[in-house]
Amino acid sequence: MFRGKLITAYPNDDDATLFAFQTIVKKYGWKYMDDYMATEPKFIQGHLGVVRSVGAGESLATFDMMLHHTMVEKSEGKPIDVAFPATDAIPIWGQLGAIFKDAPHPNAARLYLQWYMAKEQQARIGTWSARNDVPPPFGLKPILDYNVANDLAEMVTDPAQLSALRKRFESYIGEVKNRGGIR
Amino acid sequence: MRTLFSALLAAALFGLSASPLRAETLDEIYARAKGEGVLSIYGGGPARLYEGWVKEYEARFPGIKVRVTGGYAGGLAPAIDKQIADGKLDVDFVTFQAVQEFIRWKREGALLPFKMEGFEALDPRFRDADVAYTPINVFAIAPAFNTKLVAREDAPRSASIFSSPCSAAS
Repeated sequence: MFRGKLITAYPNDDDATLFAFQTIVKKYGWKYMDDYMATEPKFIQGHLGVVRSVGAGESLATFDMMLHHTMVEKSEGKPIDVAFPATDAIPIWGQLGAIFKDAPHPNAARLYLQWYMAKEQQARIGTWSARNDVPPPFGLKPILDYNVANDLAEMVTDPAQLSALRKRFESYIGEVKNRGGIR
Repeated sequence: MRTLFSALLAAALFGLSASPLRAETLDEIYARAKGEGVLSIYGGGPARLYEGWVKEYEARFPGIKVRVTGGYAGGLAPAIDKQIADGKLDVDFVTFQAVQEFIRWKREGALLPFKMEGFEALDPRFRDADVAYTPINVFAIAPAFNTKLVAREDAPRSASIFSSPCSAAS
């Protein structure tokens, strides 16, 4: 039923999507890619294009949506919902922030980070907080209570390995063609 | 005299403990940040993503103007590397998805350790023990489906249904 009606961003272009594909291939093997490509899936640059395509019904489903983004679209009344995986791991990562040692305004930066990380702000970020004293968003469970894959760093830290992985997915999918016009 | 000595000792001890690894209050940091007057943020995605937070920050802490440089890690990281090489930084704070750049900058000693107030509340699976960087949001990727066109019982709760023979053949 999903033939020609699946969409994701390009794993060879977007490392979040690469992480999603890699998590699946780790579980199901590279054979998965042959089978997946046989369903004639669509690819688009950027996750905004993915959410729009599924919301508009041009595509039926995806395994590559930013979870909080789906919840926002759902709360706005779009016909879209998260399909929480039964057994597959949910790829997650902590988006990092850092201050530079030689920053010209280190205290303004410290102030921003501490303020943004305070409970009051973290409760409003619209996704999960890394703080365990902030309630999860959208009435969901704490993120670490799900079966998660929290190993993005392992995938991206070695540049040669990362580049090889992108190339391997590109060999199935081809180069980025559908730029989508939105990023 | 004894009181003065105690006060000096206390000041000295405070000075010692006021290392970057001690969590300070917002007011303590603001007192020092005010004189800097500016904050330069480099952030993943379009600059407008940060607008709401920036406005709130500027309103909460008068006297500090925020400048946001948006873009993608593939462009921002090399730009920052060049600033570091030239010994002249424009960036104060950076955030984007490319974890590897943070790990590299930490290894290269380019980051300023900062232990935020409430550090202990950060799950150890996200935080950096050396406080070189801080997890500011947690993101997840999960399947989604169109609820008008796909029945709930057919929702893709496993990636395997996207590759099953019946799905490919139907």
